[in-house]
Amino acid sequence: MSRTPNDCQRFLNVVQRCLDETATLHPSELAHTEVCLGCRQIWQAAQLVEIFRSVNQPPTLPDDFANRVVLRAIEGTSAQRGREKLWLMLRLASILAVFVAALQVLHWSVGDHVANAPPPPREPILPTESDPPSDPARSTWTEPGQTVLNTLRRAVDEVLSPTRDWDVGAIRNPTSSALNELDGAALRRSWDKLRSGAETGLEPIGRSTRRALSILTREFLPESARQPDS
Amino acid sequence: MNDEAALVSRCLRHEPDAMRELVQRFQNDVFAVAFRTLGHRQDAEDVCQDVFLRVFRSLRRWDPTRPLKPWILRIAVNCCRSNFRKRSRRPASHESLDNFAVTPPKDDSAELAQEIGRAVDLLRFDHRLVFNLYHAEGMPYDQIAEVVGRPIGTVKTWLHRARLEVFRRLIERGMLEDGTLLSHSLLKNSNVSNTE
Ligand SMILES: [Zn+2]
Repeated sequence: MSRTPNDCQRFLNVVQRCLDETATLHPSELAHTEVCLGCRQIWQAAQLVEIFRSVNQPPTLPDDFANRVVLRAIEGTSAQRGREKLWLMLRLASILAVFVAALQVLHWSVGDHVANAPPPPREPILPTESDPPSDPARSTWTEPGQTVLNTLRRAVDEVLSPTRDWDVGAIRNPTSSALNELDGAALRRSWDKLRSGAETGLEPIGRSTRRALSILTREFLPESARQPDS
Repeated sequence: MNDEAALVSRCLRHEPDAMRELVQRFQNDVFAVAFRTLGHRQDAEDVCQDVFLRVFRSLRRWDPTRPLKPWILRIAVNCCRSNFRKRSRRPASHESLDNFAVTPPKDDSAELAQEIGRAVDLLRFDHRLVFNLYHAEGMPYDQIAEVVGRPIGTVKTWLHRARLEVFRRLIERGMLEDGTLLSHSLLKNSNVSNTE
């Protein structure tokens, strides 16, 4: 029987397969251990590994182990439920806080916008004698609010003035050819005013407003009133 | 609904009897894995408790079409791994192998058990884990793969390397009948340190 490195490797593979229980050691293969001390030792060590289970038994757990675990699990569940409730309340509180903060920011931004708006050219708001004496906070909000309303009303009047002669039937029925017969230039002017008014009023969302109005222009204005870019 | 699914649904309703039954059914398997992997009785008991607490917390995630034992052992392996990591950051206690309950020493099996245990204990964590699951717990490869969350090929490679390392240590410790200290050249490259 030879003992070349190949024989040793082959023998080691057989030993691994025996321990994997995918092969049994043939007596002829065992003959290699007669001439190779290293492989004989490997074979002996493999036999020790095989009895590993029978000689190494772990100690047993205490008798009350299961009871202790169940007790802790139940305690943990109650504590967890308490934590979950607290967590839920915290989440609700934070959602509420975010909502309130968003409202506040909205309030402020509207206030800033009103403060930056041009002063009302006509119809100044004058306190009348019948007005109840207001508190400073209330008057801070009432005055700009009224200014915004007046400005909007005037803008709407101006925009709508050229449309008073329009044929309402043509607008209600867009398939009618009457829509194309409208005065294109007047329509264009009204539309431009409406657009610039809306853009100024909705400055914080200006870009999307402009885009929306461009789409609206493309969809609803007759050919004669369109500009190449709209 | 099978027996395990029924037990689990009772546990999910927090019935103490069912919870106790589940622990008792698997506690020896979990403890054996923890003890053989960590080699320390108190650590193994703590880990064992932690495993069942985690099991109860995550029972809803168990797939009722699969057996419960590998799922629980997988949690056990993960707990052992974290405990091992924590422990490797603190000074070694060297008390591990004296905790083994050895079969009655009618021959030199006590010494043998200690020597094999010591050799296994020096393996790196994953090798020691698969060695114990295969040679001590008698688990087949596919189940080990499921428990450790690795492909069967990896498990096989780890186990073969672990064996070579154990052979080498047993030979070096003079545990063989021959008595001659001769480490085979085939075992020379099996030297793997006891780290992860
Ligand atoms: Zn050989």
